[in-house]
Amino acid sequence: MGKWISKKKLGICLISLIAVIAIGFAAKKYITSNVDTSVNNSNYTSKSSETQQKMEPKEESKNSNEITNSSSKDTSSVNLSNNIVASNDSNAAKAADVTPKAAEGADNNINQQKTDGKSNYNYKEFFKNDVFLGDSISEELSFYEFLNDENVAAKKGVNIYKAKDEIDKVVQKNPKRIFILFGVNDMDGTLTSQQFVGYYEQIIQNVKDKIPNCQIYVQSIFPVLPEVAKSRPYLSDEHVNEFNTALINMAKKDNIHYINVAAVLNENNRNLYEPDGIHFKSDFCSLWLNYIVENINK
Amino acid sequence: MIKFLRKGNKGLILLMLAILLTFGMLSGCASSKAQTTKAPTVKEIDDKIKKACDISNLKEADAAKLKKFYDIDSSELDEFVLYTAPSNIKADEIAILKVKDANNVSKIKDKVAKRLENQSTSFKDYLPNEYAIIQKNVLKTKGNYVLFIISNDAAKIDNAFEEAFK
Repeated sequence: MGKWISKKKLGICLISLIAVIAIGFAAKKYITSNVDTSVNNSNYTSKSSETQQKMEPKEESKNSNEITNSSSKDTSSVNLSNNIVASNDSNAAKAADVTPKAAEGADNNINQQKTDGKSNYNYKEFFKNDVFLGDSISEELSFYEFLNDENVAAKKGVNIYKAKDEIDKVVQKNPKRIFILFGVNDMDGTLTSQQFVGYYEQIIQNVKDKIPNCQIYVQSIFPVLPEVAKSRPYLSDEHVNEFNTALINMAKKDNIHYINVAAVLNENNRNLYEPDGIHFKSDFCSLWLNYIVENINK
Repeated sequence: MIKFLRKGNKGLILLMLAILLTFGMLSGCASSKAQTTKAPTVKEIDDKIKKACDISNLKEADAAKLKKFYDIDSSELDEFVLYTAPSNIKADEIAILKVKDANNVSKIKDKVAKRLENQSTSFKDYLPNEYAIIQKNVLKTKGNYVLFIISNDAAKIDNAFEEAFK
């Protein structure tokens, strides 16, 4: 019986053992390499670049739709602030005159866009040597990438007191033009319109002293939605108009420009406000910048 | 039994051992397959998060925004996903970053901490409701992963992140 296990047969058994072990290892490698492949197949980083590509054409079409959506054709129902400004102050006639022209310009622009399908102006190019100085409303211009970061000196919460801390940043950029927008953070009952103008003039003087060749544009304060004005009466149209009138007079006295950007808002485009009724959705920015482009030399 | 062994059935015994050995190795392979989910892809984490809560109001951001907001090059990461708030007056943000080099994780986390600091300063005095959300942020690392959440649902999202590793 013992002789049944000959050396030959023992050898065969050993070889089979080694072969089985080898097959086991090979199987292990095959299984684990399959799992690795399925894990690494995720193309997540390429997805992010796809998203970027998708965003660009979307943004362009958004901009080109902007003017067609705005109802600038009806100038008689232009926002309340504009009408009150016109009736209160003869000096404001200049500001009021701008509005009908703006509507004309906008109408022409609508035609342009419909026929040639081009998007709005290249704002980054148009304003490349300028700076927008302001608060969270102006901050939207760079947040939504209508303008480059270097052309916007704006932060949330900046008011007319804090604005002087931002001037040095603006001066460093040595802009050809500066577009200033303050007011909504100041109309809280703590300042009269004259006090507001007093602080505003300090900023203007600072800019004139440090960059004397810079063209200064004071922008009218945008109205807020009526619902907001109800709970915050200092933001009522009446109060906004009072402050804007004071700015018009200040601009005349200090020989700087006043640009009535608030004219772009009316009852028909209230959907451009954010839910808080003070800030604006990204679509508003092109309406705003278009107004400046079309009225800056008038 | 002893007689069986002594009688020289060594070949059979060796064969049985070999079979046992093979089964042992193959079953080992089976359990190692389950272990691979401990290193989930960023997409898998993202899917878990989307199942756990609604982040459809956030905007998915690209490598350019990653650079702009965090000063992080996407080349330093294996994968990433970044969601930001739809407007400048909202603070919601989610970043899931899988760093290539484990030695770089701390530096990447510091850059995210800088973003957190900037946002805190920006919102602090002006939008207290948003600032309160920022204060409840989650910023942590797990192996090569950096997780950053500013959200009312920060806890849910954090939980979903952890679930992806189980």
